[in-house]
Amino acid sequence: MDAHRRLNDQDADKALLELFHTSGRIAASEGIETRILERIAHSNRPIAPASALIPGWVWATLAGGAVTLTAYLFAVATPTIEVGPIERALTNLPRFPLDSMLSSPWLLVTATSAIALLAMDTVLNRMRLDPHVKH
Amino acid sequence: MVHTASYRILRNQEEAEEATQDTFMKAYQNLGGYQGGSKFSTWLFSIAYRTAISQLRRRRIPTASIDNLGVLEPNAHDPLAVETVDRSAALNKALAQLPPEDAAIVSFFYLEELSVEEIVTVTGLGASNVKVKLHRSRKRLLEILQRELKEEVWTLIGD
Repeated sequence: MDAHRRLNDQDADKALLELFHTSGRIAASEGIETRILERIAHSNRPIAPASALIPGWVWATLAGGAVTLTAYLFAVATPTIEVGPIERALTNLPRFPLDSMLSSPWLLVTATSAIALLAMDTVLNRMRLDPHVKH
Repeated sequence: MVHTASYRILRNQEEAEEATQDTFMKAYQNLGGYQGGSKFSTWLFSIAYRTAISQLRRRRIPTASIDNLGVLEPNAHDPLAVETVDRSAALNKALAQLPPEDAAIVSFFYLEELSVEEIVTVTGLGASNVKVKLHRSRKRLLEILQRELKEEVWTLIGD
């Protein structure tokens, strides 16, 4: 073999690829991963709050709905002696079938799932924003 | 990956490790800046490249002799290990004779197998500039390696 002959581009690429792949990697000293992780653990990364799983307006709507519902149930359940315009308006609303609603498994499962989802969103969001929680 | 890229520019084990740590710290702190427009490794290499280059510019201590660059300790009982160390030493020696920026570019191309476009993203250089540097570096590397490794170059290409 003639070691002094010229390599064409393809041969040169092949030889260099082979050489770099077998001998081109430089190993870092042992424990560098640990040192990097320690530095990262001790850094205070500014955490940019990302958008929540459930946006704020959903919470506001649900809270508004819950307050309205509670007020309605309270008004319906309370006997009114003097009939004023507000009481009259509330009395004219359709009767709230609380008993049948509470006995419906579908409704109960839906309500439970919604509560679980909102609770999970809250917990996860707090964990994400807590700099002391390791991810 | 990151350490090798840093080492190719800085040519000093301790400095390369420092640059590697800085690179991962910067990547962690700017994780939100990764938009997914390129591969994550390309993004990481661009941080490593910039970190090592700026460290090189700040450097005040002299670099190691090219004869001692990255030479691994061979296992005397393993002929393959001895051969790998010889090749590694020859490659390090050859790369040390290129400008640091060019050594990194060649390493990105042959070791990490980045495309020219990806090297452009990593280095911020123009495509034609990268191509010229690659061409010149390959020529120079082969000259040195043919001198250092002699017949072995032909063994490498399966001739």
